[in-house]
Amino acid sequence: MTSTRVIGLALGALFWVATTAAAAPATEAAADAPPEISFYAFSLNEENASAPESVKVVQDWVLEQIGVLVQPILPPRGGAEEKLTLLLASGEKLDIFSSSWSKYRALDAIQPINDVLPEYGPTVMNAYPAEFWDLMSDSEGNIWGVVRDFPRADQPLYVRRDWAGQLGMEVPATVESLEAFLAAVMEADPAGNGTTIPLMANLTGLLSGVAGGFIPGGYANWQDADGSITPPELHPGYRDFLEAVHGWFADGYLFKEFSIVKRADIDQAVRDNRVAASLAGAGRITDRNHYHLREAVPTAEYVMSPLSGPEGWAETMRKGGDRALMIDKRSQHPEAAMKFIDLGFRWDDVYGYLSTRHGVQGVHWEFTDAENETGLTVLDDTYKGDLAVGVSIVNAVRSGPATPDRAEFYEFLGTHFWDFSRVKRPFDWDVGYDPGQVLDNVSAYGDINRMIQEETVKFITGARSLDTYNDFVADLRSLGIETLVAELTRQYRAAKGG
Amino acid sequence: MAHTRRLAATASSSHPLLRRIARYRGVYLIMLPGLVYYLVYKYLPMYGVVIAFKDISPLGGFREIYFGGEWVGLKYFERFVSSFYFWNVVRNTLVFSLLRLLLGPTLAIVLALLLNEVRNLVFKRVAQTVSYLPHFISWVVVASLVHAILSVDGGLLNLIITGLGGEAVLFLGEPRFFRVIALSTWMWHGVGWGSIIYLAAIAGIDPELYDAAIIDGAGRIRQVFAITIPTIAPIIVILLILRIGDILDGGFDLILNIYSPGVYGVADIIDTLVYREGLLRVQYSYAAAVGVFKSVIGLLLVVVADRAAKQLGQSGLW
Repeated sequence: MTSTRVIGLALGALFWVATTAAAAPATEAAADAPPEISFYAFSLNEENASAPESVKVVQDWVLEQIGVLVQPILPPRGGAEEKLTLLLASGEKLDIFSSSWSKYRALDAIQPINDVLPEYGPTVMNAYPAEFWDLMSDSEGNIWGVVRDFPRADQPLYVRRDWAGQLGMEVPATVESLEAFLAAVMEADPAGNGTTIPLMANLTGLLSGVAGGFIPGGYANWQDADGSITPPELHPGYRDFLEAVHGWFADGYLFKEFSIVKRADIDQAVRDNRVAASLAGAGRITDRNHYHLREAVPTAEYVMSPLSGPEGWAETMRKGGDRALMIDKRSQHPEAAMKFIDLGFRWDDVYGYLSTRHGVQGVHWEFTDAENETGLTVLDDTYKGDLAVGVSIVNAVRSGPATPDRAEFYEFLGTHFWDFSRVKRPFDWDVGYDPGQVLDNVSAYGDINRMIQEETVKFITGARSLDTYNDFVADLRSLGIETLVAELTRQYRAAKGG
Repeated sequence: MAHTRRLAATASSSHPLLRRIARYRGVYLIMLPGLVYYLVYKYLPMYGVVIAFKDISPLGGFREIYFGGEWVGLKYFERFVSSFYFWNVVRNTLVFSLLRLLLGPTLAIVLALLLNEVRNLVFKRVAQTVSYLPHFISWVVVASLVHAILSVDGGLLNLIITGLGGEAVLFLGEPRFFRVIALSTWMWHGVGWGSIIYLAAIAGIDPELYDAAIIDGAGRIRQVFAITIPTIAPIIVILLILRIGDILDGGFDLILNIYSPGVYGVADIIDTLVYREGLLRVQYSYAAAVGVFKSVIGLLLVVVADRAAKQLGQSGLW
């Protein structure tokens, strides 16, 4: 036999094996095999993955409960969204993933869940009020996902009550009294050696936590005289807000790197006993940092202090975005996907929320207080939450923190996260604007965003004089912000049926 | 073995090219992986530039890219060049590129010349290693180092400034400092590595040229300008021409990691704009259009530089 024939036969054999192997699953797959779905595990990344054997234990548990085999796919650290897009673009089927529903609906990548939600997702359906589901719906009533980005009030002012007491002052509750407190703290320098940071803040904290004190409707869209939906930067109160915050910056109260500060740096400053007041999100104080600060300095005490300005409450409710749990349009098992999502929210009949998030009871955890089903004692920490599909504030609060240093954060979630009585609620809070359509219809949208971000920071730092504020507004108009106003107005009216 | 010889004989009798391939099959085999790499990763994807002229569904996969979508002509090119910040990002990109183009090779050549003069071998190797090391640090880590040195809150430089009685400076948030910071970081990161090729070129210079120069009374400096630099000039020119092709690459990795809204005016480059507008918002056609724009400009500049180099008596690329 010549070499050519040998090669020919070998290639033929290889082709036969490949084709029969590819055909095998279709012919041999048992009709009663459980449906298999893939889940893009947004809570983790490849660097903090679970031990494979622990994942198997939870997979088996899920299979036993709902008859669905779930395969988690972990994103890389810091590149979850990019990898998600690339996976979908390369034809990979991800039955369940999490991102912006309007973006992926525009890309025709997801399917509505109206049919499967009531039948296979009753727990999820009852987990949120109707308004939250409105945020997930288009004008035709299609529900495109399960809400993940909740409307919330999570940017309150936190103040060191012990330092206020030492200075003979009340905890500030108004912009004026806050300024007086910051001035006094700066003068007294309680941290010593000039290391006191009177006001730690980031840009989100300043906008969501302060601007509402100067704008009647809060840091949110507002309706002008003819009913057009207008971004807050075009409201005259926005200039007043910038002027106040620029004053804090110029006087040295505001942390100078507010526009670039990282979460870890804020955490460290709080734990180092240097921050007198914080507008950087409730989590930066309550989630571990306050606890550890008090371990080192038992007298240290942060309190939440709802702030008001000349126009009322300073904090604005943060609108829920359009982040959602979605089902891939190409999913062969949408009902299995919804069953799994629903399991991730269940508690009363089966510990679905706890098991997908923390592992199997008796293997990975036990209740600390079994009678009241509160507190978790970790038995085996090799499962990190690869199948944690349910994002439920209610369940999180119910289960309580795994470690005592998170207790205050859980208390915040349970008590203040959805307490909208101390904040301004945007009039259009229940309208989910479609960023895909905005992008299609407002060609300068990216330029408008850059100009607003860049110039806002410049006004605060003084790199640009507030005397030129009218020029800024004129530039926004010449850039075409009116087109954005028209698009938002069109979407608002469509959502409201007007 | 006999069979291979027969194959070679058959090939040689049919075609001179096949004869050469058969004769030097070992060399061709070595070349094969590189050839396949370029075909698969560099040439085949080139057809993907069609999406710059199409409206496609980014999640439609290959079928959508190659056969689907609607032709939209220059829509995405027009969108890019009509952007309010088009000239701003082009200017920033060119400023960074030109400064890197001038400073990078200049400092690398100076470093290579200095290292070449070191006679103590141990010191030379240590110096080389130390200068190469930054090249292996990822840009994310480099950005963290920059932050640790320049932060207004506990940054090394600000500690020195405040220790001397000065006031902390917002280095990373003020436009006037950004270019200097970025350029210094690039030089620190790349000069050592960039000097390797010049050091190799210098090592290849015939020592007799130096001996002759010494006999003629030339000192160290004179030798550098009369022998070293003219001898390595072709290498310098070729590297310069190649780098000109990347003139619209402004240094994305570093800038993305250290810029912030307050410094967009001097820091935003074409690639960061594309990252924000094209990739984060899944507008691949827009990103592709900007990519094609950059490639065409880069190619034109390379051709012009090549012609100019030949006019000046230097060897070009082709």
